[in-house]
Amino acid sequence: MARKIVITSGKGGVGKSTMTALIGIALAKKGERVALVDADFGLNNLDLYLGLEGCDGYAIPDVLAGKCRVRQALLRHPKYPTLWLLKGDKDSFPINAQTLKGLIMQMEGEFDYLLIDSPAGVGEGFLAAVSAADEGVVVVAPQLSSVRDADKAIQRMKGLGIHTLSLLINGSHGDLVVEGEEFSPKEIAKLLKLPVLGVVPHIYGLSCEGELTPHIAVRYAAEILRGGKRRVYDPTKRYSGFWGSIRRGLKRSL
Amino acid sequence: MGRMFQRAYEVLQADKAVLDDESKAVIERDLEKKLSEYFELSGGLRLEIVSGEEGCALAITCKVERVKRFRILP
Repeated sequence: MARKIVITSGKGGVGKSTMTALIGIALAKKGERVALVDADFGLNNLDLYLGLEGCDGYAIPDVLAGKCRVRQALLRHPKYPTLWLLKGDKDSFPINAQTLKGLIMQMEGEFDYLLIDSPAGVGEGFLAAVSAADEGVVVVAPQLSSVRDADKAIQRMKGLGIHTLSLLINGSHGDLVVEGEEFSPKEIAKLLKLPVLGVVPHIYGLSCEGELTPHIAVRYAAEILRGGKRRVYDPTKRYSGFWGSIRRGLKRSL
Repeated sequence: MGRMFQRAYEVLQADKAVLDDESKAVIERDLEKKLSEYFELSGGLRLEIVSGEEGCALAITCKVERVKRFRILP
């Protein structure tokens, strides 16, 4: 039976879809059968991050409209054979919690992990995505607005009975953390009262191939999700100590 | 933990403070009425929601002159 994990954040633009794609790839690389469900209707981008934007096929609204079965709508990744995508839709699509839950239930026997990419905010779409999951990963940027929105999303999720939650801190600047100008992962964990699944440094963008490669920080996070060794990437490491202070100085002067 | 942390902590706590002064006064009056059935109260009752590491705790403080005599039916 698949583990159903919703990737959410509260605030938009903090890297939910990127992290969903990266965690999915990292898990698939370990041989896990993973399906990514793009529940961000109207603003779906998972296909883009996976390099599958040109692939035509059915999407969630087609399944719900009875035009196809879930299995027919699943898009297999050409590079990672155990990674699948269930596309959302480019148009805004009203979906309720019960409908999405039913759809997810049809898939849980065939996968090890179902990663549900939630829309931003705490509205209907968020509630539907959360209701379909048993666990949650909250993507949070080291900024007050992101921490505040994440806190609201966490309270809502707890209210919906999701208590297995962890934080994926995205966009951490090691140098700023060392200088006390940015929240440290420890501070974010203390504020949100959740364990840290991973800390991803601020380096990402879409690569030239239009596809992402998981950074070691994401691979560590995926390993923790799999129940393996608990390692969390430390972005401050290269900015600490004597050489670190030189690196910080150089970065400041650039 | 620095100044930034303290500010964030205060913002998050303020967001969670859902009990406005009027609602608080209503609860205090209710509790006072109920408690006065068992105790002779000598001062006003104070209700406080204390936020800590593990979440929130409700603290009720009031001065009591004595415990009233009451019987419990078996």
